[in-house]
Amino acid sequence: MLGAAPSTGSTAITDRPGGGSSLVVFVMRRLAVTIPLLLMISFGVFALVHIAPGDPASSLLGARASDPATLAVVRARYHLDDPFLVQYGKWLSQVIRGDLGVSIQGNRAVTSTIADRLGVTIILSLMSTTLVLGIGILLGAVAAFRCGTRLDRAIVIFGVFGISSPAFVTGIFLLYVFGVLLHWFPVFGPGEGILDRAWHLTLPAFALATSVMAIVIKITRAAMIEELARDYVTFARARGLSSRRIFFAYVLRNSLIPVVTAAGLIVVGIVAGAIYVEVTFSLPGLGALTIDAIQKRDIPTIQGTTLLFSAFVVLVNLAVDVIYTLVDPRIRFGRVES
Amino acid sequence: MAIGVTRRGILVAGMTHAAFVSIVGTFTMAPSAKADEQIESITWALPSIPDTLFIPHAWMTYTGAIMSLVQEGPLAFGNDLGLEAALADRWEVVNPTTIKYHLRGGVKFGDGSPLTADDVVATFRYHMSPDSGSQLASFYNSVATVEASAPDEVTVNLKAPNVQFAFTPAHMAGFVFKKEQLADKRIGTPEVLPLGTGAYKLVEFVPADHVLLEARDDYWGPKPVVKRITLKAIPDRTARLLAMQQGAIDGTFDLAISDVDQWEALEKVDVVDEPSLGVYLLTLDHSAPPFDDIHVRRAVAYSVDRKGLVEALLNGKGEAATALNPPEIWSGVLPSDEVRAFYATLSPNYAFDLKMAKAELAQSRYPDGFDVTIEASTADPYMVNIMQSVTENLKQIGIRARVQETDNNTWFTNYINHDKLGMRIMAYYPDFADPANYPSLFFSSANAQKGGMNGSNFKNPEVDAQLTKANENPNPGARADALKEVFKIANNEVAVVPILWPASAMAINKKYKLSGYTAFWYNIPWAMRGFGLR
Repeated sequence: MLGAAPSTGSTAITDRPGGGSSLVVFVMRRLAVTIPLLLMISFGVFALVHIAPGDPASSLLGARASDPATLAVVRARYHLDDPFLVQYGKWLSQVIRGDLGVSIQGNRAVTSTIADRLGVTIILSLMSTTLVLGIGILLGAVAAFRCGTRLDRAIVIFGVFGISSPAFVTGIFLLYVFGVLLHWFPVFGPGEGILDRAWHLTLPAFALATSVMAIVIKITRAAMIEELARDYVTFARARGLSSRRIFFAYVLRNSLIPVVTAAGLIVVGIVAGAIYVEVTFSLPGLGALTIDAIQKRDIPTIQGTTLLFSAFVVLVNLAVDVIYTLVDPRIRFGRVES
Repeated sequence: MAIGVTRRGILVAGMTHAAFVSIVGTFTMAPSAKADEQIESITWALPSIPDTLFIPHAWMTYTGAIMSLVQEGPLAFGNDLGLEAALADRWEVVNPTTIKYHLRGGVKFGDGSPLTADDVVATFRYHMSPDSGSQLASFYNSVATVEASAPDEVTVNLKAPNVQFAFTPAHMAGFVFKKEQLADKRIGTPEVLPLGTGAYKLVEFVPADHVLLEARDDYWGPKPVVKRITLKAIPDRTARLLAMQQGAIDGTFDLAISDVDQWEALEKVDVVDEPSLGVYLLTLDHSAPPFDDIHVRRAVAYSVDRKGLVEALLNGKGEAATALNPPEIWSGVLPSDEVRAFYATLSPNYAFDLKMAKAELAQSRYPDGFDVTIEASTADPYMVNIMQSVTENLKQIGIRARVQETDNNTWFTNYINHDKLGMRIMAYYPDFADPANYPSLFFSSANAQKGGMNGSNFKNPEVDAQLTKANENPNPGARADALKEVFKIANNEVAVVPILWPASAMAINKKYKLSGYTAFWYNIPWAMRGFGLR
């Protein structure tokens, strides 16, 4: 899984002052940079699979001695005997024509396989992101307001527990308690239809969220404690503003900036964690597909899914930068004001 | 397992008296279910569901567990693992290189179209054509031609006599496709589900997730007991256990034997185990130092604590291997008690003994030991643990051994490419029960090359000659004698170091029973073999 570089959107935007149009230019420029970036990533992944030991043909022909003539045909069919650069060139020319190729294992178009699997991963990631940001920010805020109390410590301990136990361990624990003991949730499968799917994905989404939530709790808590100690809060209190007004109108908004900055990392972390959770909860998602493809050296599928993941990481970071300017308009006009 | 006389009888008869076999075939047909025993639906878990259901491109046990309910071969394995009639109501060995299969009348595919000899011929030829890239091509290496000699008869001509080919029409390599479907490149995908003549038809297939099967009313054989079967993928071992505990699944195959005690602790669950006929072994490259030295090979053979491994890893469900072949795999030619008696006469017997191991190493060209790294696949439930035990023992006698954990693909590719073989671990499960199968794969010099299973590069002209006899002569007595000779030489030369014969286990809800569970659950229509309400 690719890690996301910390967002640098604010500096990029302050380079070009001038309000709304600068945002459009900025987005266009970032999108233009995406293409060579994706090319580099796809080349890197292709090279890594090529260097790694193992052979797609032998996984295709099973853990058995195979007939040499058959092996030769399979190797020729997937261009496995071509030089590395020729193989990459063939793949790239296909991709430019909008074709991700045919998977070696499933003998199906990679695009249809990805389309089948995408739904589960998207819903799972959306549900966990909502949980992480919703519950994480709430718990962080509560901890900040009750800073130093037992509640604060309990929340921080919960966060640390969550981040310390891998998602697949939390997953098994949740499965046992809520699936086997309480019978509240199903123990495997993705479900069919929107409601059934949401019901099936609740436990996986929780398992995934718990492992990432600590980051949001800690960042929100720290930012909020800092904001609460600022002069404007004391001043607002002195003016007799209600706590609710102070919290929602000033403190929350100001303390969200670092959370939004980290959101890119968090979303990418969730998608990366989905790989483990999908296997634990027997969900046929993109993560499980990628793992399986890597184990079987199914190059077209590996390339297809990594391309998708990379594009996703780039787009999430772009979205984060845009949201950043919405939360704090000063950033867009930074240079003008200074 | 009830093997022995019956299976022997069938095999001998199959080679000589077609008429007799046809009677036995009809007689051994699974008893039909009573109407009141119908079960509406069951959910069965598998560790994975393949990406395609086209066996030539997805030859795995899990594909077999699904497709053996949908497709059938001309022959089938009985509960005693012997051959019995299926799509062919009789077969005849005309001469050592010609076999005729007479097809049963009135058999239909899932779409209602009739089965013809052309379908069988097209299936066999598909595997034989290199262009198809069939994973099962090697099962047809001994075949010269396949012809439809009559509308209901298929004739196979072999290049040379080959006893092992008799089994090909019974396992996944023989499952018959509809001729027209084989021409469709999308066969096996959800868009083109393979048709078969079996008791069930495919209704729904979501790759890697689940398969839904529905019983056919127009099946030629006994009426299926279960109307609908859902097969679900649950890859995580613990999640599968929890699903069984919750009652979300009615059963599953392929339990890791090391987990069996947890499964047995479940209240409403029965665990059934049978010898898997599989084997774990070490190969030692005879063609290069240090394992070209017989004393080094013997030192390694004495350093494997087989009994300890069976207790620790398999909870006693399995056996310490004294030779390559598990005794039950001999059943076509020799009863397993006679096999055990024969194995007991093999000398030396290489029982775990570090003093002997040290003494052997002292006699070798490497009295001070050497360095060796052994790759073990992390996908296998026992391989890494076995190697950790073996390397610890080897260190005690002075061989500085190290385990290198790799993924399954790397482990297997490096083995099959015969590149820097050294010492390797291999796990092998059979496709049919014939005692010449493993020795041909692991001991014949023809397989001591890239692409072959003989990872020891063991070459011995006498062994090759005896293997030819065992593969060409249908007489069980002559085969037994030839194979005994092979095993004597292999044991003396340490052709391989056998480790374990693990059991194979399944779990089933106590509401149900499955009396026909065997080592070949992936090659037989399991839900038709004594599945029902308890």
